[in-house]
Amino acid sequence: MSNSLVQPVAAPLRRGAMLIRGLRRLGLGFALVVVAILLATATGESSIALDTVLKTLANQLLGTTYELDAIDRGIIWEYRLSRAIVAASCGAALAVCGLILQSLLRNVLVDPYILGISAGASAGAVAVAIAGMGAGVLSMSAGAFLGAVLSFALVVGLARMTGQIILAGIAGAQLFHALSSLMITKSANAEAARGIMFWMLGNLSGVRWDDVALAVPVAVGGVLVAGLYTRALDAFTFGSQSAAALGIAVTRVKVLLIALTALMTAVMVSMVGSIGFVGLVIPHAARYLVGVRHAVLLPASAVMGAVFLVLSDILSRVVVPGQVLPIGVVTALIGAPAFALILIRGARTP
Amino acid sequence: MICARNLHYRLKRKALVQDVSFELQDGEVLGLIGPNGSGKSTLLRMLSGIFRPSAGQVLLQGRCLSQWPRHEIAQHMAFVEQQAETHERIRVRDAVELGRTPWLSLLNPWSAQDDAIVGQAMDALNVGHLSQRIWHSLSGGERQRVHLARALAQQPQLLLLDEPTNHLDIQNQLTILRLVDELPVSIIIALHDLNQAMRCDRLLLMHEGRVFALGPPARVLTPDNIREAFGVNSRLLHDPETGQPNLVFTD
Repeated sequence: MSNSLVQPVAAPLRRGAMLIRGLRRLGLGFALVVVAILLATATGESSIALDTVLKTLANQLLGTTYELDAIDRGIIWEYRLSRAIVAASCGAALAVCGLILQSLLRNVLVDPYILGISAGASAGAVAVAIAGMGAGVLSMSAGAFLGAVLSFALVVGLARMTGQIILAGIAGAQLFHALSSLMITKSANAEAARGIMFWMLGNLSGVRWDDVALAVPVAVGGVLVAGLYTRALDAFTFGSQSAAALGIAVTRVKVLLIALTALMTAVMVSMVGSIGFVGLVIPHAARYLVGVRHAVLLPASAVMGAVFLVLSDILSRVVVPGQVLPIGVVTALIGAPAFALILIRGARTP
Repeated sequence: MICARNLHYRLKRKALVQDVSFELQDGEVLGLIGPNGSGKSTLLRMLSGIFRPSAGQVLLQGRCLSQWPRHEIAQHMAFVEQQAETHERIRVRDAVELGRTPWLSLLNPWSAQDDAIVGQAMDALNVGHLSQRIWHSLSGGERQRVHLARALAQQPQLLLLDEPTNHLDIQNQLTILRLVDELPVSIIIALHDLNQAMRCDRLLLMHEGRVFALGPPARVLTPDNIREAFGVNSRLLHDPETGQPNLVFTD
């Protein structure tokens, strides 16, 4: 085909404008996440004025010397801020994992939780932390990663035999949750105090700055790596064979992105347990807002996942006075009806 | 252009394609015909590099396909499946833009030229007016035309088409075939309708995974070949007005 008729219409200008628009949107997304985190830092059992929050942050980050109550400072800096940042990282990572799985498997009803990857990661983390497997050699995150990969392999194997990936995922999730419960119940280890509920529903209590140092690089790095594959993910729109025909090295891309998903899920689960529905619902909401092109959809999912989980965490702390709900309860209360809506809509459109 | 050398494909010890060899000339339209399960689709997938042959080679411009990087193969040939579907609410324009995938990279981002190529491909397949439509709102014929436009946006020298007229009504079948005829590229097209196959330059008749006959339509579509491969009797009639040959079948 000849391109002689084609006029190169101000290509550099257009590309520059697109870049600026993209950066502006990214900036907006980042600002939204920051606002959500600040909100989370100010809200809780004892409400702290935003002014105090900002002064505390200024003292810690900019070296200012505002006079502040030591307890407020402790709550804000040691407790709420680290927790909110980990929540944001988890939300972004889980949403992006869900998006990748939905695109690669071409199924809008999958995410790390439904496919049993989170349960596998839980079981792996529990095996290391509580049952003491691979003690000294494996970290909890590494154990979680092995558990995640194992459960995914099992679920995919079962799905290949039956053609039912969702049911295979449910079977896998049940199996690995049961294994976790068994290991926790059998041991009288101090770690067991975190309990079965923690690993099944997720919980952000007990999160500290150590966790931030792991969660943020994994979430940001994971989203950036996934960002290199947005075009490849687009190419899966019409299936694997179509992607191959479009020049995608299908096996390599699938292995790499699924390993990335397992890694991100595993790191998050080993810190906060398995939180459901974020990876399932957020990509749908993002598609609804920004369309199906992954170059936009992926960062949008990351931002929305981050904001969603931070807001869910706030809810989990204020909904029942004097009690903190496991965050998985909140995400499920929002996510399950959304899941139902997706099912209903899927049944209506051919 | 492309050359198949003793291609074999086995799946679970069952031979789906056996010892297929042929060479396609530049600009040629080769029709693949044969009964269901004769190995047409499998052969097309080997030629496109989606399936790796169990034995034998595919040579693209003299070089073995397995030595080509995936995206370079896609710059040379495009493959349109029988009915590729999606659950995504993708717009027609976006679906056609997917065809630029093999040409893009981090260092080669989307440019005005890509826009222009996509526009031309959409015009060539007469889907420009559907640009903003959502995939699910399209008819079968429109979807197939969008797939062809996407393939064309790859700027291939070779198009591999797997029964592109399947499940379409007669008007859409003829439209697709006419559009395909007009494309300035080499084409290998799997077809079910033997009368439609007559417009190809050459035909490759497959039977039980093997090449049963290869040559110009008049030499391949003989009553003997058709009886042996398809198990039906046929007669060749000529249109009283145009003189065009036409097959009629009886069992």
